[in-house]
Amino acid sequence: MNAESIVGIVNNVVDMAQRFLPLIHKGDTKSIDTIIDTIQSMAPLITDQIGDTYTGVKNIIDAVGSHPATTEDQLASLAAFSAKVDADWNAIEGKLDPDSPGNG
Amino acid sequence: MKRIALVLVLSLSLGGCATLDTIQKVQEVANATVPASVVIPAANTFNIVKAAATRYGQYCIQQQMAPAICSAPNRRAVVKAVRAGTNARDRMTGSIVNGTPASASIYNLMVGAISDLKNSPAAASQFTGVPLQ
Repeated sequence: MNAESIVGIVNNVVDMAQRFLPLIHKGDTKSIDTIIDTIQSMAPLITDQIGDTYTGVKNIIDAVGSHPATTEDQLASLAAFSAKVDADWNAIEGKLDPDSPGNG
Repeated sequence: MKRIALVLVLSLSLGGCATLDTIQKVQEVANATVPASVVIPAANTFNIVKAAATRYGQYCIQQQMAPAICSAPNRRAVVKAVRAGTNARDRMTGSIVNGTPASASIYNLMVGAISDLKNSPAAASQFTGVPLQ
């Protein structure tokens, strides 16, 4: 299954969960936990297929939305994201660059 | 903890659109300096396209540079944009950490790198996970 199909399925499930949430009574923690467990069970699909995109989506939403995260939190999150992205890139840059010695 | 996770995952349903919107809305600015609230989303956007560039690179290496999208000019353009964007991102975030105004000219370099990567083969949905264009 390709990444776009997985994103589509995940989005459909999340959309369905959002529709059910308003129907659940505030005290019905069992139903809430069931939905959360379902969503969490999909996390590996999300992180395996679109991990970097997901992290970026989270960070962007944190930064531009009404999330109570402070700027320090956002910077720490950005630094961690940058470090991962940089390490991944650095691992392949030499082989990808056509102007690197030996890549002629 | 579970509720935090739920909020994050629920954000994803909006995130598909939010990512696209944000990437499309990251534009050059004419002011002398830019605030952290502008720099941080742009830096995250750059990281997203840089991650896509990495997957593009991994693909090209795996395919031994045979596909047309892995031509030397294409790879050269991606490498150049990643280097320029990374340098600009680090300078921008360094300014914020130090509490000094972030230069708009450096910010615009990062926006230019994002634009270049969006127009490169690295922006294909097979590398981004979601369509950017």
